[in-house]
Amino acid sequence: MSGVQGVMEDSAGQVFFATPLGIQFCEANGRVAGILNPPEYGNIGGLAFAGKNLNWLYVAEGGKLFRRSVKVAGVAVDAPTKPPKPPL
Amino acid sequence: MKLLAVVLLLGSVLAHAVDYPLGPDSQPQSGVPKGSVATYELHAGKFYPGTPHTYSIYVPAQYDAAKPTAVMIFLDGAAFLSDKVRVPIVFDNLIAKHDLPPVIGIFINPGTLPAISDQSQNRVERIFEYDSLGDRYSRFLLEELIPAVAKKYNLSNDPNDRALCGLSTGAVGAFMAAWNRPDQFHRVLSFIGTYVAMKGADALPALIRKTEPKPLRIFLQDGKNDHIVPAEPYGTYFAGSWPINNQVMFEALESAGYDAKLEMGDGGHDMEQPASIMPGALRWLWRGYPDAIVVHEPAAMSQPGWDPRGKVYSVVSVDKPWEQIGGSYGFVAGPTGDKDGNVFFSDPMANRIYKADPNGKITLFKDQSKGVRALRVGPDGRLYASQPAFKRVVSYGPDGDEREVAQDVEANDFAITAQSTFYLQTQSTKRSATSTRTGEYARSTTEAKSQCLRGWRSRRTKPCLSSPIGKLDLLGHFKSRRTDRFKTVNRSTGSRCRKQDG
Repeated sequence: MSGVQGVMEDSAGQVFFATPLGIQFCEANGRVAGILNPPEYGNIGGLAFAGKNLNWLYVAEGGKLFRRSVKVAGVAVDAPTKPPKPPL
Repeated sequence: MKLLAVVLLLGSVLAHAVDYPLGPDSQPQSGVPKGSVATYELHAGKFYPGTPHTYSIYVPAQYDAAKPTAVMIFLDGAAFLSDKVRVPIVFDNLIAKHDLPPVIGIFINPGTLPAISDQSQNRVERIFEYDSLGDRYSRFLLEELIPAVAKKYNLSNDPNDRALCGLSTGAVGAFMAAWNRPDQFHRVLSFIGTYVAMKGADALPALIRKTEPKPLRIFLQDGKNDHIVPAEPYGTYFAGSWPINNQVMFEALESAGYDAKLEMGDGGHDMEQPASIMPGALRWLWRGYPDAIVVHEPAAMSQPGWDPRGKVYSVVSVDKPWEQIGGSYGFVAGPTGDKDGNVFFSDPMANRIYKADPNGKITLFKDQSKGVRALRVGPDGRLYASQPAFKRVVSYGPDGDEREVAQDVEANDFAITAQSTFYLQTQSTKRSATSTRTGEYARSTTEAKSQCLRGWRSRRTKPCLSSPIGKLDLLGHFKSRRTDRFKTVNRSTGSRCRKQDG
């Protein structure tokens, strides 16, 4: 994994990295699981879980801001919860 | 022994005895309008400096200059124009039958940089162009070849109208161009594709399985005897087995939900079967045109046994794509959300911080923001911002009131924990300047501010599971950078600013 521009964790302990390949998400054990496509051709800069339920993924790409509804949720900075045990 | 030799010989003969004749769609038919083929040279450009490319253009008899016309690009173009494969004749016949829309064919040959003397070899660029996984070749097609052809003919820009075709390593080139630019190409034909360990194409199946599907339709063909002989049924080649890797490519595409097809014949690494099945392959690739090729969730997703672990569709939905919020800015950086569902982001070029409400409405939050790039909402609800050019970190309240949080910290990015511990990411170029005086690196804030630094520590990047930035280090990024950590405490607690044991 190279060229990481941003990183975020979800409530399951998965870690999301903004990379030139797209948004690579790892299981809590460090394995790359999936790779989400960027909104458009180019490199993603920052990323963040946001929204009242933290279930929107926002990304910056060049001079644009995008968001996408996701089935996972981010972690509240003021009330982090203990993630589950990592999968084997 | 003799018997074995006879059996092996027989097997070898049988393997190559399979007949792949050209059908009527590959023969000139009377009464069918014939397209034209002309040859051109594309002068050296920026992607392959010094290297010209020759190419031919097939223009169907039905071409109408008033209409944007579909286009299909053939890598190793000469092989597809040859009398053996006859793509122009197939095009004539299928277009006349309305099995294909009128298609302009571009038959591009790999580049050759001429040698500077007859004592040196030409630089043959085929493998570099076709077998690399990066986006250089796709950009060459999009920014140099297609514009050159578009000066002569009215080409469609719709990715649904654009197809790619290649053979052997050229099949990798065709696939990669579409894979890298699914916003530009939606259809791929791959013959005897070299998805083996040459320059990384053997890694594609795993990448295909893991990556969110792209709107591509892919036809693959290979032969069971492609680089296989009876004495070496596992493959004769140093880089892997063609038929096995084509099968693995196909299964990866199926698994990810692509519209894909594999025709595995009995031939070897040759164009017998590809030439024979070309009409059928083209029909399959262009079937249903002009219906757009769209992404589907894998068929197995709704069936028993589907394992949701790690799947992209356990994270996103195919019917909930990206949506743009706001317009275009100089640069968008540091998105971070607050409790109410608002998102703050900075435009360092315009020196501004914007706020997007949950409905996507954008308002200016802070002007003259002193080069703010990284932003984070803290556990106290305030918006923290790094001003690396001014070597400080500040925070803003809901109404935009600014407080200085730290001085002499040049943070490109940072994270905050629930305990208000900050993890800073700074450039390694600063390391030598500060490493001998790390004790002074961060100082307390001015008296007017409500917070000060109680302590901090600096460390070289080592694997560290306790912070997001540490995880980056663990995974091999930010190797050349360092993290600094400091903690803010409220001055009202009476704590003094002092170095924290680190």
